[in-house]
Amino acid sequence: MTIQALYCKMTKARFSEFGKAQKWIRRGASLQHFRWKYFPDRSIPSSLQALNRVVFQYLAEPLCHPARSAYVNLFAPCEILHAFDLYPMFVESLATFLNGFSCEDLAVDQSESSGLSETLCSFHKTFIGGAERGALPKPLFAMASSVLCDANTKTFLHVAKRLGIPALLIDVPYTPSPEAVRYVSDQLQDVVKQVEDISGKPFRIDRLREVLALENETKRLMAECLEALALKAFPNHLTLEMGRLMLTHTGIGRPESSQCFQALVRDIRNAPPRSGKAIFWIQVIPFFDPTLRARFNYASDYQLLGMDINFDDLEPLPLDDPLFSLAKKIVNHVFNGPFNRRIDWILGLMDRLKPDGVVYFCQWGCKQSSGGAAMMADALKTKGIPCLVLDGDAADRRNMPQGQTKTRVEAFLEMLP
Amino acid sequence: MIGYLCKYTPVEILHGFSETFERIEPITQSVCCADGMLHPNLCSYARAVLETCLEKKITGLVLTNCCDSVRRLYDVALNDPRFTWVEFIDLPRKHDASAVAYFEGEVHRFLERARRFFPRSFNEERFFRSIPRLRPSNPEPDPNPPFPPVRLALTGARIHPDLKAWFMSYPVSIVADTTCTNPDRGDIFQGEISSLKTYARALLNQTPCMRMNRAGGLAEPLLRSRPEGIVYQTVKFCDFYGYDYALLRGELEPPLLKIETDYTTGSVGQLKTRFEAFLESILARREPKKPSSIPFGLLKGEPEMRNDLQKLRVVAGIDVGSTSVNVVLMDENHRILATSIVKTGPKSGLGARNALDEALATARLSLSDIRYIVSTGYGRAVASFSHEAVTEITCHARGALWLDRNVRTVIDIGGQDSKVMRIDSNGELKDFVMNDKCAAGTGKFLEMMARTLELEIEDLGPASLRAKEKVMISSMCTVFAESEVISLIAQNKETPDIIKGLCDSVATRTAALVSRVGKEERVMMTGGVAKNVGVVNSLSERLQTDLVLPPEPQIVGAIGAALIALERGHPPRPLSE
Ligand code: SF4
Ligand code: SF4
Ligand code: SF4
Repeated sequence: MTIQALYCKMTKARFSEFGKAQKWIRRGASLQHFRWKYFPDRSIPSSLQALNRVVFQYLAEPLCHPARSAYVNLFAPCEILHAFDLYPMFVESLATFLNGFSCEDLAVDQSESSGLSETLCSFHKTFIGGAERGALPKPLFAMASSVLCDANTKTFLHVAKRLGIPALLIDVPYTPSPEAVRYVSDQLQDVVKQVEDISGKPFRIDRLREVLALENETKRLMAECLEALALKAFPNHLTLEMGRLMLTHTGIGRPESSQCFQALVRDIRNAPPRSGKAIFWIQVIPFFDPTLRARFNYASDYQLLGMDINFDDLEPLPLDDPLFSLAKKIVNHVFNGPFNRRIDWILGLMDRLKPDGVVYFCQWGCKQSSGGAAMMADALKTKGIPCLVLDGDAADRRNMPQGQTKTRVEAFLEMLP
Repeated sequence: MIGYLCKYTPVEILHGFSETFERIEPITQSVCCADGMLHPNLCSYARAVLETCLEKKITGLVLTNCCDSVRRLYDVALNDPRFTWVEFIDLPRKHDASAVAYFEGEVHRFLERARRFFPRSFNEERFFRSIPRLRPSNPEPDPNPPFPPVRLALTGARIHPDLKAWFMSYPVSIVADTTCTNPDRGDIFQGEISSLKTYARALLNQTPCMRMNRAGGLAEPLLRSRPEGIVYQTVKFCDFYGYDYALLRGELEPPLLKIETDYTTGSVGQLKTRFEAFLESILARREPKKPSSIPFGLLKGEPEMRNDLQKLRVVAGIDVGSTSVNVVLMDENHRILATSIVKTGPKSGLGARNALDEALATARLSLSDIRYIVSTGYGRAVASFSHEAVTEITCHARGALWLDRNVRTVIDIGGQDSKVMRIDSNGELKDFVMNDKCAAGTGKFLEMMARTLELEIEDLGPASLRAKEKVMISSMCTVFAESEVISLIAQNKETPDIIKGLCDSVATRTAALVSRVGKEERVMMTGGVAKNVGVVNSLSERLQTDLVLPPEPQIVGAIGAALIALERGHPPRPLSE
């Protein structure tokens, strides 16, 4: 047994006792950060070493400083937190991290036995269970927007109520329109006031402008990565691709994120031309699945180009009215509104990235993605891009049928022209 | 024809255009057309709506921004040429000033789009006239209920009108309904409605559904109606309910019953069991001092017959389960005279009779010697010769307590379902959960796996004891578990190890049920699976307690039924206070 496996086992053994596992989880994140900072794996490109380091930094910071953190979801306006120097505690990544400790079953069971629906997305069940068992620390407040799935605002309201912390919820209308932007921008004004009250810090609009400027710079680099990726063979790793979400979303606007993308642009440009098959992934990745790991992690014959959510928004934000820009960003997001928007966007992205095949993952409990699977697969196939619709669970390994995944994925890869 | 789903839909506007419309309340046999278009993990209701629209040729659809399933239903309908008018109204989750302003705008925009679509013009007067202002009167109550009606509140997701009507066929009165389908629109428009603005505002401010982000949640409006019990209705793959349910469950005094339907095949038999057991437990609470006699039961006998019971000598309890019929004959000194366990077979009425005859033969008695018969179990209604039918939940609780008076938690794993009951020292039911949605964690699951392994079901328990290596069967779903077992066989894993893995998986599932009602010692295990030593060991390890195993775990329900039959020997207590 490796030291890491032993550490996970010992953490898991402490999970059932309230609050016991928290220290172990926090230390796990800090140790990983330490390791990537001082003893990185030199066999991988330096930009990926940096990416690993920043992912664990973003994970460890809020765990170590819960009194300066807030639970957030993927489409929460975290730029506001950065302007207040608060840390986003991104709950899907916490769920993923608990999965890394193989603790997700205990967390999911905890949520289900408290009465939550078994058909709720396992990311949310893991997070709720972890918070209720005290495995995750209690932050200052919770902040979530309703974008992307039903579970969002409900989960945050629920956990906030259980822990007795304020919940700052942003209700985002589904159809992009000027009225919708106004409604959201009203709410953001409100959020800022509430964060001022809760944290006791004053809001400085210029600080938010700086964050947005850095965000724009990062997006420019992300777009350069995208163009380079279309031609080059650059290795990737399933877990890293999931971790990257913290750079492209909750941590966007921080200097570390943009530095990382700068390094990536450099390394990808210097990589050899694409030779093997390139696969694009839609929705979350079950990074622990043995078949997928064997096929994609730092592999050259099958290159994982990336996951759609990491390319979802490359539009620069106007800096004159930062809160209004943020409202517009959330409302006009391609994941909001009719699914046709998302299909058109993916098709456009495929023109730029030119993958050999696409995997569309239907996460257990994720109605928003599962419901669009047939439409997206049809659209891709019409365009001549092979698409595999894969059912499973990227958060709870008990719902991830290994045998079936192996057969399907391997047959799909064999089938690629 | 235009269909709509949600109580927040501004349907009165459609009146203004003299359009006909209906709220879609499907019950379909299966969702075959919708299958290819909407993933099977989407809400069963949303899928059934699509099926119904295609079947009934509903070509107009007005949706609200309710949930992910409805949003995807919208996308599918939008891209399907069979729909001519698909509308989507954005519904805020909040209700502060800016949310109200936004919704007012939405209603206005809906009206403008409708103006462009419909040939007839919008008649404002007709619109205002159609706004319901009065509370519709409740249906006439039963003039002679056997007991004062049970005050029930309904909440959760959608509740099919047929199901609600079926609830109403019992002596109950519905004192609140916060589901999506509350038809009581008169409730909504209480104040002055003189403009589109005031109309929209009233619509948004109605009693919130479970989707809304209201800090108080659902508890407050429900409790205001002082219900004796709350029925929490959910739809398969609808997750909204869970949050409120989890909070309500811990905090509320009135007992909660959670039921789940899938809008396709109604498993009414089991709903019946749960609903009756729920009413039984509410009635038992009305008289906590005298819980020994359960007042609720479907008395089938004539009044003369009940008086006859004083001469009672031998009674029978008969548990008609899905796989076996179990009979207990008991005399008035609580001695068990005979028992029998017979396979139910395809005709459960016949199986029940055979089992009774077998027990009678063992005791050398004939049917006329039996003074009172209580039937229980899934098929309790088919035992035409019984005097009374009582749910197996109540019977199990009674039987278990009689066998061991220190038992507080009863785990029953039968062929088709598993359930866990918590009881107090009087045998009064405190809480129960049932898993009847799928075969996972039941006897059926083990039976199917035994077949995959080409073994007899009886062999599983002993074989599991020979396990050496730990094998995980992680899948909770029977179909997935079967493929896991096959791949384990292919990996040359030892059969005892696989069997142990299977037993562990049933035990894990069951332990989760136990934690939902809360474990209180001592814990008894009953039902056919209690004979499987592998499951018993694994479960007792997980629950960290020794399980009490009755000498014959399959007849506990029948014992309870016999005990209830004996109680009927005393002059029947009036049913109402
Ligand atoms: S996987 Fe789907 S349901 Fe789960 S958090 Fe993400 S978007 Fe929501
Ligand atoms: S949950 Fe609410 S929004 Fe959804 S259909 Fe029901 S009443 Fe309408
Ligand atoms: S039952 Fe639930 S999931 Fe289904 S349409 Fe209603 S709110 Fe949506």
